[in-house]
Amino acid sequence: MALGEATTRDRLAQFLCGAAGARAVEIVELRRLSGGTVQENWLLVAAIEDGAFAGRQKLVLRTDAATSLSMSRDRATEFAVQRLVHAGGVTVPEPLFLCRDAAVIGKPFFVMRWMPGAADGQRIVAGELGGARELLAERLAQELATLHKLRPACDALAGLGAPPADAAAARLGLLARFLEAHGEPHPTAEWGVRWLLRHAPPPATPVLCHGDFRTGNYLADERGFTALLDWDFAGWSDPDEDIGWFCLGYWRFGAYGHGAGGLVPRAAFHRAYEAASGRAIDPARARYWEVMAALRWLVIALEQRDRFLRWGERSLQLLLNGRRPAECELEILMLTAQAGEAV
Amino acid sequence: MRDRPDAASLLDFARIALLRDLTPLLPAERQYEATLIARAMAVAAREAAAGAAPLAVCHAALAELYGEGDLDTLLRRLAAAIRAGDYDAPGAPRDQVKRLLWAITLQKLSESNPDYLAASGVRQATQNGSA
Repeated sequence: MALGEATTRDRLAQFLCGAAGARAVEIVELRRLSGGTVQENWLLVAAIEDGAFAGRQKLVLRTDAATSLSMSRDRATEFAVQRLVHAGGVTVPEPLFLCRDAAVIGKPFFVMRWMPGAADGQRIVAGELGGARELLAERLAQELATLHKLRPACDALAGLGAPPADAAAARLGLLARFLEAHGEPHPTAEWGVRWLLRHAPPPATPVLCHGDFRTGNYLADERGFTALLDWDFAGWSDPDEDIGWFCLGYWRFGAYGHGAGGLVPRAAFHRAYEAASGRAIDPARARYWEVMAALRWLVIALEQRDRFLRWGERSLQLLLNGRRPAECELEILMLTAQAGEAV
Repeated sequence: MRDRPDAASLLDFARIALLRDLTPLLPAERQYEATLIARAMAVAAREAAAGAAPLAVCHAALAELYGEGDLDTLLRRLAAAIRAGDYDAPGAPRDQVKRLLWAITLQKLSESNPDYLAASGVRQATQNGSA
């Protein structure tokens, strides 16, 4: 039931016809877009006759890859989140149609509007894409502030579960349990767990967080930011978790000296976020969540590697992530050393 | 007995041929895969060049902490002891373990991503725990 097969395309066209309230839908183009090891994204150009979407529509179809990650949301939940943040003023591709029926293409998917730009982290941090990095960072801080200021009702996002009373304890619990059950020794990761346990800040009121807010997960064109992507890690958390994740060394794509996403120093990003959100950033809390980010990326990298080694998903990118824990371990050792050794 | 070239040289030459001669001929959407293959070969080449010496150093440092045992068993013991909080308190054992974790991490990165290590500005000085 591959998306490239003619019968699958026919079923997809039929689904779109019903969802768009159209008289007829012809699929003009359907091809897989690059990137996305957890999800697959397909460019979908459809000629739609009649209804609210009449005309030639450039769309993106998003569906699960062959195997999934424990922390990743299902497509229905991601669709609900993306609808909600789109309505709330966060710049994302407008999600249009959700299909839960696995009989159409073999797994659930949703369809959103195509947005211009590329998510190429290396070109963005090099200044070849996304315009001036200072302005790009400021815009990203504003988008993040808009997200964190939303106060959606929890029952509108039932797929996210209940907000944790203590987001750091909840996240750390998940990561520590993964490491303990993993069956291989990860001493530096355990060192990070101990530090995080002993330096936990007082819990903040959880807000809706992106969960994977970083360079590589937004689109930019020659002029600047165009859209925030990849909402499959969204959840209730401490807003500083998004800030720490954005600053993690690995997501600077080689522009290591620019602590915030490879774009600007951390302090500049904090200032832009504070101006947009009205909420002050405590650098010690941000650093705490950056250590958590290092530990979390380490666990995700191991999970991705295991998709190859244990579950047989033959992707070289997944396999190479088996060597990613070392970058995270360096961050854990550096960040915890800078933070001092006070118990 | 092995004839030359050794594993590291073979991988290095093959990687250069892949990147320089073959990759430009691929369609644009497949070029990223070629860079992934080249990255895998680069890691393997550096690991082959380093040989078994880095593991022996790590093994010796672990044996100093826990006595004799195979590397995997000693690493498990270290991970379990850290998890149990055995090295939370300031003092010589904590400093010794911290030095060992730094040494392991620097050794791993020097093989898997030396560019990242260089960009981070970490110097050898951090190995003695002064960072």
